Amino acid sequence: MAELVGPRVYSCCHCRNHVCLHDDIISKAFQGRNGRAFLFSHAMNISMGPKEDRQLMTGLHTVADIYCRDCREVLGWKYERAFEESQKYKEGKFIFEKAKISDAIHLGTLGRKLASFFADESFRNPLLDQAIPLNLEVLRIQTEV
Amino acid sequence: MRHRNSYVLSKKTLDAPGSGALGWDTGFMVVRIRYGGGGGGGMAALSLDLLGQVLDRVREPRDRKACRLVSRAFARAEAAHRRALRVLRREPLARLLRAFRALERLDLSACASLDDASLAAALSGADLAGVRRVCLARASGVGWRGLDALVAACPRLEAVDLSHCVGAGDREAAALAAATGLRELSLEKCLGVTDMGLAKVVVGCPRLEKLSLKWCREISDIGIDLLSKKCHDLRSLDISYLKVGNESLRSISSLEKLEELAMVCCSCIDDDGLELLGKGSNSLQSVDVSRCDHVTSQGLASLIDGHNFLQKLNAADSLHEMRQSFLSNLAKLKDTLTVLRLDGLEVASSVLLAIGGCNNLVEIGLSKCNGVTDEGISSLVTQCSHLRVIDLTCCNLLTNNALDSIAENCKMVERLRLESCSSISEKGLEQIATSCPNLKEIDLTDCGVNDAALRHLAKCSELLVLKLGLCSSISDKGLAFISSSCGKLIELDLYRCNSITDDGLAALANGCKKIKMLNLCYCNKITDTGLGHLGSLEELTNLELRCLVRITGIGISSVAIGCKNLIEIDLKRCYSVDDAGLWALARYALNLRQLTISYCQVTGLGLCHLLSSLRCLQDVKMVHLSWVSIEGFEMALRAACGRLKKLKMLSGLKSVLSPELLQMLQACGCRIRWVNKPLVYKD
Repeated sequence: MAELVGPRVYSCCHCRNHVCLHDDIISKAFQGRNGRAFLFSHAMNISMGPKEDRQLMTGLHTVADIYCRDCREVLGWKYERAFEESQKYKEGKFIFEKAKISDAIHLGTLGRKLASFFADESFRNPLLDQAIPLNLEVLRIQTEV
Repeated sequence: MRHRNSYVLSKKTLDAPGSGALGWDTGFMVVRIRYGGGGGGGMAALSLDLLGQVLDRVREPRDRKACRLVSRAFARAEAAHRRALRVLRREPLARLLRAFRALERLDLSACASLDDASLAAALSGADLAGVRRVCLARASGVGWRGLDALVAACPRLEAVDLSHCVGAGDREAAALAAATGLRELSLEKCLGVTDMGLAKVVVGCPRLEKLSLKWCREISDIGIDLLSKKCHDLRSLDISYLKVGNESLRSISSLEKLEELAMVCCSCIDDDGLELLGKGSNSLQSVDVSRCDHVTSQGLASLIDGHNFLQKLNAADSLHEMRQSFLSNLAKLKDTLTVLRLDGLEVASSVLLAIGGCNNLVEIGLSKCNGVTDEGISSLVTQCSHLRVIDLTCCNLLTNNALDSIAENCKMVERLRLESCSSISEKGLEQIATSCPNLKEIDLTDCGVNDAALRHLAKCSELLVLKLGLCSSISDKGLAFISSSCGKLIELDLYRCNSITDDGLAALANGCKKIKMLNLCYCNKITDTGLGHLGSLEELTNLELRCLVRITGIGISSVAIGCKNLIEIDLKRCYSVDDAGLWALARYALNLRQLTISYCQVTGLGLCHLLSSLRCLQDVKMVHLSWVSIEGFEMALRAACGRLKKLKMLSGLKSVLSPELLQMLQACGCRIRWVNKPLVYKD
């Protein structure tokens, strides 16, 4: 029978804008400014601040803060460059602080949030082009029993 | 339990409620049953009925099992009086239904591979006139034929739980509509049910009191309107995640007896709808509008206007700001409001002060609320001394002062959630532990607690749930403190507490014998010796051992042999676990329902053996089993085809496994989740 809902998403805790997907989680064992944070491979509906060098627990990195596109709430940061070899895997990935995002379910509605997700080429995840169809009918995967 | 001809009922079993009715007080009671001389068993002293009533008072399921083994007479008495039954396998179902004649509650949700034919056959031979409640949650193999048989066999059916049968649709609803006495029905996640099916149910079961339509997204305002017109006795309704709008609330407002309404994530509902609801009869006691995007505090204010006996209000993750109109109306609920959840809201201290006006608050939810300070908490708890559940997850401004205020004012507190409150320390926890003896659950994930804090927490002997995830400063010493006095502990979370070693587990196994759920993920110092200690925890049901790279099949065997009640085990990234370890699971962990073996060193043979032996296994996560060949997957999955309900596999396999196999799996009600994860080894 059909799956009538889309993937599990996280939204900005303030304005409920969808910002990242559960399937993009790489690690749950990071520390943000104020507590626990997760490492994601992709992000959406965010804008980035200026790049700066920061000394983090794992060494020196070049990071840029990420803000929710609508409400400008700081949600975490993006790793632009890592100076130690063992930390290179983080480059290009995003940290979202657990306190700033909340769990939500993507209900497959064609709304502003979905449209802006596709509009932003740089943050598109090619794998998900199949997973979030624009038409509710297409969302149903028919299984004949 | 068996000593010559006498049977000792200990104080423990007699402390069940109702034991006073038979004239016993709590204390040791020894019942000597002398069987008549001259051989042959006969129940000389107690009649079957009286014995049955004695055994009724034995509450613990394991004690009841022990009673059944005493003698045939005991077994007969127990069977004649048994009211509730939970069946785990399909094969004995028919025999069990015939053996227990006084059944009132039947739970078939865990019955592996139950389908229409077997259900109908099992029901046909049995006398089920007393059955009132049936649970078929997640029984994806049962369809309208099985439900027809069920309704026909149980004339007194009052409550049916069909939740998560995602294939269930209007035909299944029509089958249930024939149970005219139905009072409670859950169609949660029955994705195929539409307005038509709902209409049939509503017309056929006018006496419905409790209905859940959560996730049945085909239902529209029309269905809800018909429901409101026909089921006047409705007391509890769940329309969460539906696409219904304000018109539904207009219809619902006409229900005069409605006490409980849940509308989680109803994005088509807004303040106008709540205003309509507020104009209805003043019966609502509990409202849940969490995750409703378009609800504001204004709407809630107008809701409270019309329903001033509200006891529970859940507005978590929905409000963006708090207006004065809502706070002033909240004052109207000062006598009745017991539960308030405002998670995800920006709160100022003045808001908390205003909320404190509701002196009878028992539960407050402020998880992920920006701006919660020590002063705010203080102003809240000084007015609400009856608080029992306090959720302050991610309120990272709080310090020990907040804990002091709570300890001073809320002595009855039972559940305290402090995840990510990183500024608290053992001083604050000492206050809590000393002043709040009723503490049953505390969540200190990511709080940086140390062994000294655990020494203080050990004073809480009623502790049932302890979450210490990400507290890397906790060592075996801390665990020793806990296990010395928290003997009632049921759930312990030590996620990423990487200073824990085997000795800590030894202490745990000694002191906390009732543990059911244990999370040791990433505690990478643990070896097979530690798992050997866990083998003595007989009540253990859920065990998470992710990324414990030192454990091997030896450790898994000790757990599998000793923990007979094991239902779920997570071995993801246990790189040293190979076929031998899984062989032990296949041989001993016969109650296992959920298994994760991603990244383990299992081969096709081991996988096949595992999937064919564990007859209760329903949920398997097996991503990146690099040593299993395609044939291995084919054979293993075919062996367990009828039983599996959930699978998680690498998406590359989708094109490689045979289409017949995938179709067969789907036909048997199995849902497959294909994931695309790179092969990376972590440690």
